Amino acid sequence: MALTRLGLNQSINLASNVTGTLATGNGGTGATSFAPGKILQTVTSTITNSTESTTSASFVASSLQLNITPSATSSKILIFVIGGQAYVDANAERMHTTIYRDSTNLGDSSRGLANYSTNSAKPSVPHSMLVEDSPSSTSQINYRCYYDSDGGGSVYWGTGSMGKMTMTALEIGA
Amino acid sequence: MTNIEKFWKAILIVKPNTQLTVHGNITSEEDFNNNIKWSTGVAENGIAITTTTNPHSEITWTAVKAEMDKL
Repeated sequence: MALTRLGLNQSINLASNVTGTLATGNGGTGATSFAPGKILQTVTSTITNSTESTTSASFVASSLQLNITPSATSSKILIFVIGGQAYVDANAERMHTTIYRDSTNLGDSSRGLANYSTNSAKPSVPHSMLVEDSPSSTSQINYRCYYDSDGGGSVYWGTGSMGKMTMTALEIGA
Repeated sequence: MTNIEKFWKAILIVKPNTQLTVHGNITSEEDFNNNIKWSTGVAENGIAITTTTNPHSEITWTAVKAEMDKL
């Protein structure tokens, strides 16, 4: 790489003071490996106008899911779920929500990742979950949202008649 | 009260503590037959074991609809 000598306090003009090609190992064109922490890919799934409800005391699958194929076994997968509306009927004590990687619960075995409780004001609040996973795999992985009811009454997952709910997975290079 | 809220109240009147999951709404016998998964147990990983075949003889669309109409 050719370099131009700079004068005292002269700033580097990347357009005129630097020539050559950045090595691929440093992230130049054609690079196939990257420094830790870089986002290698994103996958997003959304649902709209989806009402799903249950009285099941065990986790049931929702319609919100996505598939991602990590590029390296060392990658971490950061998953966000946000939006829609969670509603807990007065006959239920709370709703537990979680994310499964294929058949593995990424949250607490009984309480999942996020909980929504009954309130006499008939609450309807956005869903919100975040989890970091280390799948150690380069095969396609399915991440899916699950929910259940605690207390025997009905709980409502999804967006209801309006709104949008999004699930995003980021692959982070290790 | 929305239709789906009436459905849930009716179900729990016909048979309390029944565990089922609904995707969408239940406004007809066709919905009742197609939009429900009935929980029959739980797997080791905490996921409900479900079936689309109604295992509760006392929970029929006629019985549920009758309770919904009272609400």
